[in-house]
Amino acid sequence: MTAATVPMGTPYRARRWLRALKRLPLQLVLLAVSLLMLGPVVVMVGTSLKSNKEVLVNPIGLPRNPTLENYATSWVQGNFATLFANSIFLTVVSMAIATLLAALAAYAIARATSRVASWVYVVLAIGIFLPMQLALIPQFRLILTLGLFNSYVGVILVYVASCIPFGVFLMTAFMRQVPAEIVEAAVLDGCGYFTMFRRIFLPLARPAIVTFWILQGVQIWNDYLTPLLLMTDPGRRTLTTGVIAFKQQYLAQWGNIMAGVVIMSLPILVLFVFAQRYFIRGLYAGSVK
Amino acid sequence: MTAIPGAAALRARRTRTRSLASTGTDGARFWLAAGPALAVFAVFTIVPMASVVYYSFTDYSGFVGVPKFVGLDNYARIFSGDKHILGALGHTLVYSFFYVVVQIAIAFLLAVLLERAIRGAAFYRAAFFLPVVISSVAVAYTWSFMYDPNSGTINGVLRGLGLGSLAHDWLGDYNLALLSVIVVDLWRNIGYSIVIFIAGLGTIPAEVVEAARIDGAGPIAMLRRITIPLMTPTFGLVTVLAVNGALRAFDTVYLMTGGGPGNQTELYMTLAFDKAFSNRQFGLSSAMSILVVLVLIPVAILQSRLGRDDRPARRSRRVVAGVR
Repeated sequence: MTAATVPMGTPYRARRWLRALKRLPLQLVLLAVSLLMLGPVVVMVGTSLKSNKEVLVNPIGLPRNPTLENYATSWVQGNFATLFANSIFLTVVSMAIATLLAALAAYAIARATSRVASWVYVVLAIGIFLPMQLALIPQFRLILTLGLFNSYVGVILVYVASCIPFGVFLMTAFMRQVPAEIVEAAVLDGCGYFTMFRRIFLPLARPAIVTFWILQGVQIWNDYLTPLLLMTDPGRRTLTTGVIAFKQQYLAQWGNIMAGVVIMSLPILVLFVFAQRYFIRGLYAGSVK
Repeated sequence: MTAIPGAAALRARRTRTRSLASTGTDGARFWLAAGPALAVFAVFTIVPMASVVYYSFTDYSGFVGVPKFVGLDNYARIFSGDKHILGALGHTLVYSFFYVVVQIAIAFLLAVLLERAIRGAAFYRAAFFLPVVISSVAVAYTWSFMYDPNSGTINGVLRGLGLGSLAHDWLGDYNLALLSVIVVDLWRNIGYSIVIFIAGLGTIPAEVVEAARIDGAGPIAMLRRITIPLMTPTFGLVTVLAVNGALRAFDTVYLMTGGGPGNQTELYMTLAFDKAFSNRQFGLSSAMSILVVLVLIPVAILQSRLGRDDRPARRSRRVVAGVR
């Protein structure tokens, strides 16, 4: 767009300079906004590297004596090893079960031709639009009735149920694209119903599964309400509920609290740096569901 | 249709083979594969949701006692002008204004700028998007620290700039608390809107832009006559998503202010939650939830329509015709 406004006779180098100069305000605005957006993250990390005392006297500057002490004390006091184990366990198990169930259902829907199958699809997909926090109390009562209060099983089942609709939606779209010729050839070769799922449909749905894990996996990892309500046993706390408890205990010891917050966010931040493309694509896919 | 005699027979045959497939060869295997997902979903989503509908017509406390049927009493109470509920509705309205109108305006502007930046685009996009993936607990506590009246970052910066008179107790001040909460959620979500806008900008055909440029359209005219009209579906999608988010807003208030000070940050959803868990009025809370669902259903339908809209292509043709 600049080419038209720069006089044609200007030598190439000068033109390039002019163009760069014209873009300078744009770059400065974007840079300023980016720094503003990154600010809270910098504050989070910076504060975690200050001693609790330094936070009080030097709340805004960079840490004068950067220390990892907060991490050591928070890790021990907050029992972060357990919190990590619980969060990883809940996320991985819930996502693995949800992936399997959703993929099987999507496969059944993609291969069936009956009207029943499309109704099953509609029923499952409707769940995408239900704001699940509304059903928390009935879920809570259900878990109590089933004797699953304070157990991982209850939380996992709630998570699996909440992930299935989006999983079915994503994977059905993929599995419907498997060409009929492949299916026919496989049937002729004597490939059974479930073998075909394992050998053909599941591998082909891999991109959908990656999106599913990133979208819903991060949601489970970040969720605090379900474990907060369904598991009160301190030994079963996740990173989120653990940090909530830690904050209540440490009130204004901001150095320690921020260290806990950084520990909690680190896996997501690392994942984000390496898989940013998938995150953005996945979340976009989530918006147009 | 009746003009083609074979068509009806053909259609009949097709439906016959279809129904045969469903009951015969597919039947058992279909339910075996789809059954587990359906079962878990039915027990842990459909049943709880259905019971919310039922309890909304009762005076159930939520934990003890037998629910008594009270008809539409709970719904009537919501519309009876209960001060608490009205207050929460008012705050949700203010929140929605910022979350929808202000957010969309800023996000669109940033998306347009970002599209023009050749250098550093990846960095900027990452910076805008990063807050979206951080857990709400981490967000709430980081901002609680920044808002802290004594050792917080924001007051610290203001004092450092010699603007100490502007320092406030951001979350404790009756007039500022709601705005402070809104700022956090804008920060958290704006990257998401930007990403959707960028995707929308990508659908604008290059020929249209080229044609307008040749006709001498300046950047402002380009925005007004080309970009914004062509992006109508994207604006729709972002609006729908923002309305959805605004009505369901819960995390930041729940974790940062608990609705305080003096209910100044109480939103509709946090109030519904409190009614159930603290006030033991599960019937009323259920009715409040059902009302949100009733508003959200058309929003959700709109969302799925806009999501798979093919209008950009058609629209661009019309706009091109208009330009020429």
